[in-house]
Amino acid sequence: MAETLLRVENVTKRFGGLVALDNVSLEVLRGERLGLIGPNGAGKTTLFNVISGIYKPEKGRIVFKGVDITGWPPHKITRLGIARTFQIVRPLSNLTVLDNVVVGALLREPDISRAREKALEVLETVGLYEKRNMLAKDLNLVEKKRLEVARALATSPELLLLDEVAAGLRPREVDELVGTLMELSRKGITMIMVEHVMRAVMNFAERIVVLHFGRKIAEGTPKEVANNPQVIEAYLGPQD
Amino acid sequence: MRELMRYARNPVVVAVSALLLALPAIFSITGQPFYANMLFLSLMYGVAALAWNLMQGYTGMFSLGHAAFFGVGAYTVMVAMLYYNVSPWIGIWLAGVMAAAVGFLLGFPLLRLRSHWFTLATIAVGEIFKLAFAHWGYVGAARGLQAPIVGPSKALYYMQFTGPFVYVYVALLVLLVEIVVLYRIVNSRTGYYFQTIREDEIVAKTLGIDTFRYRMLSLVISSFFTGLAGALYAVRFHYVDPFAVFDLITISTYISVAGIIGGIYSFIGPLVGAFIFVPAAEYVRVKIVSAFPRVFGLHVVVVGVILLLISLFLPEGVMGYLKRKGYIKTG
Repeated sequence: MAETLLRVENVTKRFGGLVALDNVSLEVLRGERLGLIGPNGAGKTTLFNVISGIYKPEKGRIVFKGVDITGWPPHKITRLGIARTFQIVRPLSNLTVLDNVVVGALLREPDISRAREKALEVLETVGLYEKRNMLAKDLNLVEKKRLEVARALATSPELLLLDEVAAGLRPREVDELVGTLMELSRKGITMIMVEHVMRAVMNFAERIVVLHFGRKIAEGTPKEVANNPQVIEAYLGPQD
Repeated sequence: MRELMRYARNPVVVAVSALLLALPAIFSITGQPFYANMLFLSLMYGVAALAWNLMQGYTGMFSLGHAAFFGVGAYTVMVAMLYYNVSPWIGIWLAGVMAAAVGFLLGFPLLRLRSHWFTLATIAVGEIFKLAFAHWGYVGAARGLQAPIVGPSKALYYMQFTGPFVYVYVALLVLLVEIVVLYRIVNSRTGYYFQTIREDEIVAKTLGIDTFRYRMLSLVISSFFTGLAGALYAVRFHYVDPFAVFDLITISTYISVAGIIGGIYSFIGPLVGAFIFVPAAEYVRVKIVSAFPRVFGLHVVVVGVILLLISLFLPEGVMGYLKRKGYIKTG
């Protein structure tokens, strides 16, 4: 039995009258690849924002590596080993691709030249090595998505939160990306993938959690989830 | 440091440095205090503009209140000298420390604000300092503080030299210290973190950067060196008054205009900008404004026109333009 790396316990997050997360609980084991799906507005990104410390939940706890990190500021959470990407890409536009990743690497390696070496390795992994001297704003969307992953990886996370990294990619590009992520998974990085692109998440995840209107409505292997009537209803509306 | 030494061997840098070292002596021999003074002011504003740009260009914090740190620096030299008999040679560095302390304390309210709200608050801070000092008896209120003329035996201790020439060398010394320190900072992890915060503060946080701490660090270092610039003003003119050293236009705005003209995304740009803008402003003040004594605020109009031209033709500043055109690679 693998150890529990992340435990989300009864988390509730409200925005005014809107309940974005309603008593959500889930666990992620070390080394696991978890998929997190649900229709638009289900609370997936909100959950990422709560885990990474951007939002504080009204209720519930986030426990990572046995440490209660609820309400911690984001930088401390990153230092403890959680990195994330952003659904709407946020490159450091006026820095080079390399420097974007160097900033991430500097977290564990304060020496610039050694951080640069590490950044170059990471760029190699995600296939951006050739673009390293371009400004981040001059990348296309596919490349910016990869840069998001590279920058997060450079912080040497134990848990990586991937927020729709496959959105907007062509099927072949999706498969490439999933291949890269599988490789990282084999190196021992635990991952949670929020995704609408089923081709990505079904191939990638070992287990899937489904959110709908802020509630967890299903959990299981990709196959179980795909055949769950509640999930089908959430995505397609009531079936008669 | 090794990289900085490589610049020290760059022929352009060597030529400019040699010129800066030689010019005051030449002006002194040929008896041209006006130009020596222009040189001094360019250096003084250059020191402040480089410091200001650590916040603006590197960290993305646009201050229009640097007069607060400049003024505190200027007053520190005078207070230390008049009330505690401290030589300005030491007072200059005390001025930096005092301005940095003020920056640190102001950071707690100021750093809660971002973008234009931050800028508006810095304007308010500068104005508050002006009014506070104008009503504070200890520092001479609206009259300000004046250094008494001392005899030749004490001139060195009190830094009283004839004409502007020696002060140019003092300013060069301060500038050299500043360039070495700032260059090391912006090329370290701290410099990377400043730029990350400038680009996207949320991303900075998720990369493990304590953004409050680094924005504070940027503010404190910036106010330290701006305080040194204010100290240069005090030792040069032997006189400080609140309406001069805390002025929104001729201090806060001039510093930022020098930075913008030179190019905020350039390390040395603000210094270059100071050497373009300050002589132009001085020329206007002495030759044109004095020719139209009844037209108030003419120097501000001239600043406005220069800014307009820059924003139209060189929006990325002189150094940014040179870089884009490939005339220079770094800087």
